[in-house]
Amino acid sequence: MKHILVLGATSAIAQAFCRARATPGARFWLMGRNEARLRIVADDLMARGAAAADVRAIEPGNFSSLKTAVEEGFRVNGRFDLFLAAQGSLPSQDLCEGDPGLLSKFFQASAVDIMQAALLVADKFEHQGDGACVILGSVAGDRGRRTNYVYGAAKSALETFCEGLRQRLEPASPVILVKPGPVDTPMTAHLQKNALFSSPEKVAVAIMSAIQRRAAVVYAPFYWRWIMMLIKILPRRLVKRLRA
Amino acid sequence: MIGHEKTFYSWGGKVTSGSHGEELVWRGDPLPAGARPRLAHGLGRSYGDSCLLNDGCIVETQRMDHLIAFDSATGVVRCEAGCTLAKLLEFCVPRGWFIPVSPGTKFVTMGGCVANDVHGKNHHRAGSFGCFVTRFGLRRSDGAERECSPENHADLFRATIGGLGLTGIILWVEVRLKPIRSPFIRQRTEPLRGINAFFEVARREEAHFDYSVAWLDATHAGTPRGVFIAGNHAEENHAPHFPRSSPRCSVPLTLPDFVLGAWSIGLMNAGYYAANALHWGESRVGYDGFFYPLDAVAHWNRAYGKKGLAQYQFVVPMEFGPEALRETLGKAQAARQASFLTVVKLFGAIPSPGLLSFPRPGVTVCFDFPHLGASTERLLDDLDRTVFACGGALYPAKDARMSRESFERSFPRHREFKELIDPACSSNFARRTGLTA
Ligand SMILES: Cc1cc2nc3c(=O)[nH]c(=O)nc-3n(C[C@H](O)[C@H](O)[C@H](O)COP(=O)(O)OP(=O)(O)OC[C@H]3O[C@@H](n4cnc5c(N)ncnc54)[C@H](O)[C@@H]3O)c2cc1C
Ligand SMILES: NC(=O)c1ccc[n+]([C@@H]2O[C@H](COP(=O)([O-])OP(=O)(O)OC[C@H]3O[C@@H](n4cnc5c(N)ncnc54)[C@H](OP(=O)(O)O)[C@@H]3O)[C@@H](O)[C@H]2O)c1
Repeated sequence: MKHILVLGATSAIAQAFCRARATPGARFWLMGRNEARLRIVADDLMARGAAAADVRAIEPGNFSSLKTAVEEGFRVNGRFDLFLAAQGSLPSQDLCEGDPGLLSKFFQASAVDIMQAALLVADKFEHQGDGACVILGSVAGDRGRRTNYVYGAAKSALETFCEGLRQRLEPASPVILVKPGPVDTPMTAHLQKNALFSSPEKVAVAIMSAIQRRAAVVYAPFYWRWIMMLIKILPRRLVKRLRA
Repeated sequence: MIGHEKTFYSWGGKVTSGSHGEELVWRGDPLPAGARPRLAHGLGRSYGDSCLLNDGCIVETQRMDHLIAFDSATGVVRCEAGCTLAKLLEFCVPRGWFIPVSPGTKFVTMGGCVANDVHGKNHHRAGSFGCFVTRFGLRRSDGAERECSPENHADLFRATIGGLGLTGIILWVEVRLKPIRSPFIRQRTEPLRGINAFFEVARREEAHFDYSVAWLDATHAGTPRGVFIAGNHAEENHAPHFPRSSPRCSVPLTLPDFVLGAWSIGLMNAGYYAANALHWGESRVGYDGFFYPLDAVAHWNRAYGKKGLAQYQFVVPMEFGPEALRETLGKAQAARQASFLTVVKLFGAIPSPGLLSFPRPGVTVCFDFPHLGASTERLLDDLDRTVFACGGALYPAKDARMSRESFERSFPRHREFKELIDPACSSNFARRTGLTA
């Protein structure tokens, strides 16, 4: 696991994962929308001992800048062992309901960009004959909720996408969907923290263990699997009334 | 910047009112706009109110924790101000380097260590944290980032070390780490009986140990007793050491006030003494256990109940040391106020670059009282009289009560400092002591 390609490399979860992998010989190709922030992440990984950390800024919603960045990454590094997609935001449900432009921008960044990048990478991985693809979903994708169903919809889109991509790429390449519960990161800075919140470092450990086990879908921390199993079997009529 | 209404706490249980929290995640991001005063906040490990600001904007720095550069030949590391000592240790110890000066907890930020110019068990040999800071980046309310060092913006360099967060927001810090050969400490403990014993043992042993401190049982009737603890980094490498990245257990909620009453504190002091008495002499311990014994229990401050705890730390010149220690211990006993941890240490003569640096040659004593309200306040006022009669000073990191007069007596260079305060910065401490409006 030495050559790592990341979309949304400034994400707290992606950073925690990369820091733990920043050993001699590790090469990172960091993509995101903000070049100055990407530089900060790259310098951190270099200080920790990585062999290389290159950054590429991608213009939001511009496929050709994404394509150029991915292809250049493969050209410069030769290959990647892992593609990690951590880009995404948690928009205000209320604002999304009233602003159609916001809704499409959100879907572009949190679902479309990721699928586009994964498809570019899939071609390369097929050619390589290996390489793991890890996409960050969320427990919110398991069931629609009154308070965040736009966010949940993007995450469940990623789940269905992963299911199909997995059929295409396995067994050579595992396609792993990681579904964290709430994590204390800038994305949730405005939320009141409670005991259900996990840390980016714990999610990073769950991602690594999923890769080693070549798991298909993992919850992070693991106990969300049981919580969501219960929530998923709740009858629709009951859920409709919960509105939580 | 991500902002929202939020209440902030200090380690001694002080809280803010009307404060707004803004997270500074990236060092290139602009500071919060608007006319409200602001203050940087690390992990809130200061006991009093120097890390708090009512009706203002508190800039939270703990997510801003990137390394910027590390030179493995010289051990010079540059990292962002929100990086904690815990995270830095995880990085540097496996590479053979250690934090040059460390307070009694590793859950503090680099910015907090600079702003309080913290001291550790090696003050007699090394000086304070500020002595190892080579430069730092400071963002003031004019928006510009300044790189401060002894050569560059030297006035702001001196004012920010020990500057209580009032000179601007520290974005990053560069320090010289200390080379080590092993993550272990060769520790020596020795029983102490009486005040004079402390001074004798400390003076005799200091020449042989990088680190030294003494704990006194202030609840013991009769001759004060205690434990002298000293150590050096072990020379050779032994079995791998796995430091704690998070506490082993936690006090989940604030305990009722009677739990840490005079009685139970006396009992615990006796227990601590007895535990040490089992193995006087030399032993090899991990650095976590030697430097950060309290970190094993998260939120241990909650054990002090709703009113929290009142720390009281002072320094007096060496010649008044025995007298001041005897008198303050006596006053605490007479007032029937039990101090859980009473720590005594000799400060050395290495000067800090900081204008408001607390450490100075002499003896420092730190009491740890449960806050019992008016009776505790009265006792602390009485202790002040001893401290100032001896020409001493109080430590702002542990303080929530010192008056403007006490502050100005403790820090004779306060006028020079005032000129360099960032007009947008303030804190509850600064308002009380007349540093800011
Ligand atoms: C168990 C325990 C043991 C301790 N032992 C010692 C000891 O041995 N020696 C010692 O000296 N102290 C000791 N302390 C005190 C502690 O080291 C200091 O209070 C330290 O400054 C706390 O760091 P923090 O990151 O929590 O900062 P905070 O408490 O959040 O803030 C402290 C000050 O730093 C300022 N500040 C923080 N970050 C920045 C920034 N980025 N830019 C500008 N200003 C900033 C704040 O405005 C505030 O004035 C101890 C505390 C505890 C809880
Ligand atoms: N935190 C949680 O509770 C939680 C729970 C479940 C799943 N997740 C998922 O985990 C992933 C990582 O999130 P995180 O918690 O680490 O949050 P984070 O630190 O806020 O990271 C979000 C990342 O997405 C990028 N991003 C946001 N909006 C964007 C846009 N419009 N265009 C392009 N890039 C954009 C950010 O870039 P900038 O740095 O440039 O802003 C950043 O790299 C996300 O997919 C999130 O949905 C998080």
